[in-house]
Amino acid sequence: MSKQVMRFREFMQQTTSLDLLAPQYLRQRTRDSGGGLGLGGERLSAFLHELSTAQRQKLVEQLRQCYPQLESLSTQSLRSGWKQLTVQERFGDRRLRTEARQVNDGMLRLMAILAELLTDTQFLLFDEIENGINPELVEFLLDTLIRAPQQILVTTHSPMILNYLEDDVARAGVQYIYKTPEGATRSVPFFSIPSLARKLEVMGPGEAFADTELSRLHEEIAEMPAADQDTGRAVPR
Amino acid sequence: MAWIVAQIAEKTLQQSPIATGLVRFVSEGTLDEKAKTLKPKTFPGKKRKQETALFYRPARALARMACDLAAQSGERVVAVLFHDADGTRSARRGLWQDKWDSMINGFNVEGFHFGVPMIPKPKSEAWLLCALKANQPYQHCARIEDESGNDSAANNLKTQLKNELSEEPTSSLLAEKVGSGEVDVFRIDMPSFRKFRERLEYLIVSAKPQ
Repeated sequence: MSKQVMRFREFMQQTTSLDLLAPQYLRQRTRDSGGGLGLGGERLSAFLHELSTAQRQKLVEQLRQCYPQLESLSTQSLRSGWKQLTVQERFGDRRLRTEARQVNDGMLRLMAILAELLTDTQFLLFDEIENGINPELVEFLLDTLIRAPQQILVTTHSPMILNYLEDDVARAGVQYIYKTPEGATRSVPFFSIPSLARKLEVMGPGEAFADTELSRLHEEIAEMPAADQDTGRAVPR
Repeated sequence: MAWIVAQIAEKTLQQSPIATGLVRFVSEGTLDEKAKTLKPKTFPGKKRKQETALFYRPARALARMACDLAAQSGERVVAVLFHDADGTRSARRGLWQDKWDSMINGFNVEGFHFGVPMIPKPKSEAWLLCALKANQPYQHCARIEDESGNDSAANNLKTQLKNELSEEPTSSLLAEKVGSGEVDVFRIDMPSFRKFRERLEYLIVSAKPQ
């Protein structure tokens, strides 16, 4: 294996995804964060505890675009050393303080994703980004990820996620991962496939994706000029 | 294809729609632009099958333009929307009937009931080949609908048409052959053509002032 490939492999092995972002982990009290959110986001409360005032304020301002009732996030150190996350919201004249374990899943998930964008990590991976996110929050989330300074890799099965990409972003950034009839894994820029390029002229990227019979797409890909396909020599797995 | 429509319309109306200025043409580019901006965006589901959006959305767009024209002119408008069923760019997936239905649904959802899908199967060359093939023209044409619409396939329909004509089947050459009557549109007999012609004739009659 060449040095470049080995460096790439090491890099990817260190990369974690928030794909284990289950709400129960988000709600846990944790001791300390070690600088990241942890595999399941279980270090969220500790991570937020270590944010500067300015960073926490930025996080709250971002969240307030989706949750206008949000006033503040606070974390307390408990005697045991555990950190507890509490959310303060205002509903009319009422102020409600809610511990993380009782906060709605969508807010916690969005909080974890936005918090991850505040870290120093230059490359972020979010698997199945649509999970736990209500449709009305998708546009905000996508716009935030597209504007973020980090390089971000997102996996999705959601037409709604794709539909919030501008055409030029979709053409440049959406890769389709598929298996050939022989069982080999391949990838190809999704909107370089002729029928998808055509569909993008008439509809959004998500509609084009949902409209396509994916189980037969490999037939069309096989007809594309070899230079346009991913013709790597990896063995089927 | 426009000449095919014109000849059927002329026989039904007993006058030439082209000569009387009753025809408007909308380019694919114009229709695409309008189709792209249509709201609401929809996904396939119980009400619409996959591989039909390229038929459904342009139908909605054309329906809106036809409704606007009808309102401006005070006349009934019949709109014909052409799209190859299985052309190279449509990747040859999805059933013909679903594509037909999705065009009709696209018209209907915009409240427009004078829309005619024109969906040659697999592509327009099939209809012309039916008329122009040297061996038994106009006969046994249904089997042409089972051929591939892929221009890269060996002995594809474009190549077959070129061989029958002994020259490149350019748009102007084919238009001339239809316009002159050398292609007798009333003898073309294949399922996708029949369905198109029946609906066009019916709607032209329905749209006539009483």
